[in-house]
Amino acid sequence: MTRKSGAATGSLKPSENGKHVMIEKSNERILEVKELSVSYKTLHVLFDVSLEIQTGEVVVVVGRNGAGKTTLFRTVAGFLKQDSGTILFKGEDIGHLPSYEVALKGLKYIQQDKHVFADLTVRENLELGSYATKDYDWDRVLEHFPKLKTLMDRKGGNLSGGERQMLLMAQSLLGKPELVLMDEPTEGLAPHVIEDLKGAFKKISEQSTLVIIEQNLPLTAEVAHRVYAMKEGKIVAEVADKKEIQDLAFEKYL
Amino acid sequence: MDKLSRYLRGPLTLVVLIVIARYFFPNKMTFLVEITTFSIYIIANDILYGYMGMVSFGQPFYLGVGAYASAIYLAHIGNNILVAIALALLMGLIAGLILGPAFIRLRGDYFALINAATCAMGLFLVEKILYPITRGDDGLWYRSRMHATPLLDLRKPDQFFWFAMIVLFVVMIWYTWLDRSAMGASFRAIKVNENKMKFLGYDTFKIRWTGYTLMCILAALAGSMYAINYGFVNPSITEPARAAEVLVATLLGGAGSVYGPFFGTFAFLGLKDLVSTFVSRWELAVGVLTIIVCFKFSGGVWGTIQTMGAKIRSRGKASAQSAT
Repeated sequence: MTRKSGAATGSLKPSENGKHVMIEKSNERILEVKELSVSYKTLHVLFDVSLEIQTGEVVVVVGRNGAGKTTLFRTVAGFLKQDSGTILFKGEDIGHLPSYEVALKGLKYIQQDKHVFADLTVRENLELGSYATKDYDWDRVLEHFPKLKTLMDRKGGNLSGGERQMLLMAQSLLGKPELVLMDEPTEGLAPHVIEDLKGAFKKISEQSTLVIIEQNLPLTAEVAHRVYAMKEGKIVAEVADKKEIQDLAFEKYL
Repeated sequence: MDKLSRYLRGPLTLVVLIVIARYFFPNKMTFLVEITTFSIYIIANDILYGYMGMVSFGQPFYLGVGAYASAIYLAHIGNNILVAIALALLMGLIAGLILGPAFIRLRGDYFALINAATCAMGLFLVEKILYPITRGDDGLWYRSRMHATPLLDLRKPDQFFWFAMIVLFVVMIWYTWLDRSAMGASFRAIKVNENKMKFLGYDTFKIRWTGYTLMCILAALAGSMYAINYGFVNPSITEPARAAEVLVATLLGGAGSVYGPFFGTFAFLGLKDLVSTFVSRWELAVGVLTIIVCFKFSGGVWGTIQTMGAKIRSRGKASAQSAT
């Protein structure tokens, strides 16, 4: 079940129009988490969690509520500090960095709560994404979410759940992050919206490595290259075989 | 050109209205200058409270920093009014840079209370500890020491009025820019969800520090204008009890909006002026009005005007469509 990652092969290459940076799935490790333990004061939540993410992969982390998935993401994103263990992003230890520095290094985290800035328009929300990263190439981002082009002057608070999720993803893609962590992006969304997002995941995964927390198992089976199953603060399984993923073999570990 | 006019239109209209009011009500010129100065003070608080969601119970301290910087210079050191204003701005900047890193680490009630404590200490400082310089409760008087300034003689109230108009015009242009800029958006964003801003790559500490420092500079500017306009400063300007009026005026106008501070000041000082001619305890009327605003008009005067304007516009559109 456990997979060993291989040597770095170098996988970044410019696209034909020179605008996008398409990435290929490779053995280069973009993220390595080693024996990570995290507590909320006296409550121990993660126990020696280790995982590896290779460039270009779409990895899905599954697990029941309270398994520690969000804590894992928040720690990797720099919002929580680990008790022990290391977090390497592109070989660099980021475990001690504040969350904004982690984001500027190219690791973006999209929270579960779908909170956009409600008082700001879609345009202003995107401007905030651009201002921090100095990336004003909205065309590249909005091609994944064409609907947002028609909502530019609408306040974030007046968007539907799906539109909010699109805005959050668009905002996070500014700055061309190499790794995007998405925490339950489809939670509470209608099936047709999830279908739209599924297409967006595929397009985004051509430009960034994706790690997604997802409870929607059929969707997981469709988009995941690899699946980590978490239970009670530990990684209990890693499923890399596409056939096993499609058969939802990881369900038995939950 | 069109973009420039968008920044100039509102501030220019505001200043023109005040100038017209001056000629219609010549005996209210002092009141109009007070509104102008107080508006700048409220804008300072609005950056902190309206935009960034940080309530401070110590705003008179920052007003006092500017007022005493100008007053001490004019009473003891020099005679140049423009240097006095520049000194006040510098002291505001220094206060923001020094106090900011410590204060903005605190949130909510702790931030409000540390400002109240600082304000109380500031009052004690100018009243007792710095008595040889500030002359305590007697205050500093320096009008006769002030030299004439070129173009506009700021010692003369009618010419200070024009100076106040120029300052208000410049501050309002800057404030309009701030409201529409990424900086303004980032201020509003950290009020709503600071963690999300961090995940986007923002050092929210620096953003709050920037906002806090801007607040200090603007409040010091307002304090300096008070000091020059009256030619006198005493410790009552830094009294912690006066912190409430800043918050009330901000709320009355509509927190976090470009014209809210002006309308809030107008409503607050106007009511004070009007009610105090009939009864001595004008605070009761302001209190009742504040309660009504809190419950029924959360957008304040400016927010209500905007809502009414939007309703009228949408009705106009609807009737035009039905006519066609």
